[in-house]
Amino acid sequence: MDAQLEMKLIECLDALAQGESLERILARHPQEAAQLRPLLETAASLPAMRREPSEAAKTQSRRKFMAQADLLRRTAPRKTMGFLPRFATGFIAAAVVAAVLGTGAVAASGLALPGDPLYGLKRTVEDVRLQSAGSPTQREELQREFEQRRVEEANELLDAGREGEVEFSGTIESMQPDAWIVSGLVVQLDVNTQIAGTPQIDRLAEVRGVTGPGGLRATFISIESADESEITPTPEATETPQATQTPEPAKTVAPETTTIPQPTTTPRPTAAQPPTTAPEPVGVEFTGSVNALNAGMWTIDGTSVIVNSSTEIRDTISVGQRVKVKALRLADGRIVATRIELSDDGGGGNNSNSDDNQNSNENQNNNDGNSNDDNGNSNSNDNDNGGNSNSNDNDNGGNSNSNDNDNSNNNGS
Amino acid sequence: MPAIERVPTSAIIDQNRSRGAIGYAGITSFEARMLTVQDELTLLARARQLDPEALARIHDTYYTSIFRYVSFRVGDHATAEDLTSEVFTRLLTALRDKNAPQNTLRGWLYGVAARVVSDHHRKAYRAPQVELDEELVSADHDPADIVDRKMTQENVQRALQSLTEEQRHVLSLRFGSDMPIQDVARTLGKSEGAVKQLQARAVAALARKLSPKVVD
Repeated sequence: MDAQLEMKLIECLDALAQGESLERILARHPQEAAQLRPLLETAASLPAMRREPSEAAKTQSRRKFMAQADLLRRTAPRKTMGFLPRFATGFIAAAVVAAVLGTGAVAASGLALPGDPLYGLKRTVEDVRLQSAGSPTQREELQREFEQRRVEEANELLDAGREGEVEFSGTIESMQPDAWIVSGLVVQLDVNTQIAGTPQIDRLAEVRGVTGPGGLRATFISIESADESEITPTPEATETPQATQTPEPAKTVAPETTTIPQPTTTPRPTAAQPPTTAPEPVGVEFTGSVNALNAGMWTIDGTSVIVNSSTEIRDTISVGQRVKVKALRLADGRIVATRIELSDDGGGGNNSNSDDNQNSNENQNNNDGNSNDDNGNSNSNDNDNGGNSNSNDNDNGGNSNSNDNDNSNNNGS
Repeated sequence: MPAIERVPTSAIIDQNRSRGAIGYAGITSFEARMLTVQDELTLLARARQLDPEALARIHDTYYTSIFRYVSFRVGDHATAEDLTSEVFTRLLTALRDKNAPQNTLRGWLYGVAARVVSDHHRKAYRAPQVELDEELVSADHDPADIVDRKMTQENVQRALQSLTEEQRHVLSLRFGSDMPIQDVARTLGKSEGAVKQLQARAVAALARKLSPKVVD
């Protein structure tokens, strides 16, 4: 392109930018029109290449940006204190506790952060204080105080841009794909972050991770389910199976918080839980008087019995009647009824229906800990109506299945 | 914060033209959308302190324009979103490392956008450099047809790869981000005349790439 044509092109592009039509511009340069046309056509078509961002992307970008900025504010360089020379932590520190208890080292360890020489001592002192707490209330207060310390420690490490392993628990305040805010701390997530439970804002989460100059990166996050106060109850086998109806080990209660990620929300009988960690429920049979018929929970001879959709209720039962109960005793001691019938009608109690029992087992195990009101209500209503036990069962099944999904994390022991 | 106007794409071309016309008079709707130099300096000072409000404003003011810039050069919508987000992340890193832009936030942001896009292309476009020419040159019809047919976004983006970085940058600012010449000049720290010349050469080079019939 010679200089003259270039000058013309500049002029034409100006005119184009001012809204003049292509034809009018070219008409002013008849000599060079053939050369200029494709150039101007190219320029004129370029604005159509433009793409507009979606509001959602913009919002997401802002959130990420602000979370990163927040992180940066926390990790901004700050003066740090020097600490005592490093010496062995853990085992030795624990042994030293007795010797130094009440001395300056214990006081000094109160300031220690994960990775510091005195940090092991700090945690050991905490454990000792917890164990020697005078009352459960006092212990709870201490527990809370120590939990708050974990958050502060993580915060201090971040402020100093230091590397350290941290664990703390707190409420999930904000969630984005790359970072959450838990207990006021920005927690970064990556592909290696394991998450147990259902992430949801306002839920309590236990976070394990590492801090560094780049912030806090989570390695493991465990989220409490909505109505659970205790994380990871590990059922312990207290009884050995002895009944004729031996439930399949694969279907037994397993601590759900350890299954990462949860395969589906629909419990499946074939779900491959490690059988070794799951003690098997024990089949039990007993007779007693019905003390109360509550939602999802009957009281029979003073014993609480869980009644759910898989419980086969053979008769119309009311308070005061004597019933024969077939049930499963779960590892945590709860009893889930598989079949309830009036004890004086004499018909029940046979072991021939082993298939029935197996089916019941599946459902019960998925259902355990479910104190859902709907079941109980519909059971007792149905029973009042009497008669159509088959159709009742079906109705209940439908109701309780949907409840099962909501409550699938209930393992509270 | 200035309201960000949303207009249908079809209207943008016209708007672009009229905006350019007013642009030379000094005040443009683009200006209203962007920040004045003074605003920008104040904002930048606060951003250095990581003031959340200032940072949010910077993000929201420039997001759309940066996205347009990036998406002009990178076809995939989701990728363009990621890269745009990356530009703002780099701003934070720069603020942390005290490498923050000293005076022209805008020039800095678009400069980073250019680098982010280049980095992306270096990773993604290593192979197809050769087939680019073959495919584009193989068309042998009426130049107007060729322009029409070849003016797909993908082809333009690939053709852009054969321009100089500076040419790409100017075209993306001018036509992608929809900046009037005056603002491009300010962003690049060049005179308007220099930008116009750059633009003319870039357009000519692009047209040559897109249509073999274009005479040198």
